[in-house]
Amino acid sequence: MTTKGKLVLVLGGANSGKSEFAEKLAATFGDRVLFVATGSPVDETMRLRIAQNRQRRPLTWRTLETGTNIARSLAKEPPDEAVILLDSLSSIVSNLVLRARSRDESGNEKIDATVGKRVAAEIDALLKWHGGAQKALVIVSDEVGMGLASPDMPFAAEYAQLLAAQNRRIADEAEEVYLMIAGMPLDLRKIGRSPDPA
Amino acid sequence: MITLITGPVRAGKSAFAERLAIESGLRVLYVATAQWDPSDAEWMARIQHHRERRPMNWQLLETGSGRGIDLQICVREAPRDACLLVDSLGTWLADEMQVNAADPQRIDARIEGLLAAFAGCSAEVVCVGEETGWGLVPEYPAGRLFRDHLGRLQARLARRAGRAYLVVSGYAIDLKAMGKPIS
Repeated sequence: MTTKGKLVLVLGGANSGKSEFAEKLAATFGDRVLFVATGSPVDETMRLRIAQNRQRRPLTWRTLETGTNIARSLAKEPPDEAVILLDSLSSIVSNLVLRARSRDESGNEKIDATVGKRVAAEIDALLKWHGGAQKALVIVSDEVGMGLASPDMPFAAEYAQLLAAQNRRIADEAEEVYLMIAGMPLDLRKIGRSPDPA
Repeated sequence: MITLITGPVRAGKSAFAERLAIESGLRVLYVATAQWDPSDAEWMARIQHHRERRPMNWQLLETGSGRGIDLQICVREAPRDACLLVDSLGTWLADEMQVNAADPQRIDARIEGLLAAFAGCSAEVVCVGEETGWGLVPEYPAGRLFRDHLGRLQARLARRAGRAYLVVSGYAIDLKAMGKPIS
């Protein structure tokens, strides 16, 4: 079985086991995996989680740390590895949303209206890179649309909408799509029916 | 038969519901429950997008507060030879909670009334809902009440339904085929 050009999406809630499952899956596609880490260690909890995830990964794996412009980083130094594991799409979208925030004259938080286009462009570039690179790409992402958006968190609803649209887009193109629930992967391609007629 | 379609935001729930309504082969009565809010451009654009996607020959019924017909009446009166597509339970409940904010018991009564209407409905029904209970407990009471009401309403409707689907990122999971009823 060739895994060249394969696209896989692993979706799930916080701590549902997405990263661990995605790592196991990536390891079955090849011994050498380039791990693309997109999370920014904004606080102590995040730092600990990043360190913990790093310890779990095999020593043969290389890590590329980049919060945005993933396609550019990958194009600049084309990886030797046949497998790329991107963890996670949700933190890329979050990085772009955080960067688009600012305050107006009265001190109210506002968001740059072009943020949607920037998010779409980031993912366009990634998929385009993948289309030409002949690598297996495993993408981890959060499913955040099953809770209510907190009114105290600015732009939480915008973030949820933007992320959902990108998850959907990757899911439409991916050969394999998994939804993690309490550490159990559900194979959506196998058990689900696609809502849009193919 | 009732079909319930639930799932997170922007997962493809409405598109799937519309497809099932077309597959029923019946004439479709489309019940739009969303409240109009001309001050919210994003929301109005979403309503417009849904509207453009729907076939021209579907009859549109609107239930938004102050403007429309009662959803209960739509469900109760829907004729046997029609497919009633309700989109969605969450927007209907949000509207009810806003209108009856001062009278919580009235909200309970409205939910019971809607479930009774579904129980007596002779039309084919495709009903869209929302999964809103998988995140953290909301800090604000109205949010907690909303997700409790919606979760319970959907669980009761799912039990009565002939089909129930969870739509996630473009995939519909058949809950009746895969799940085991808990009671």
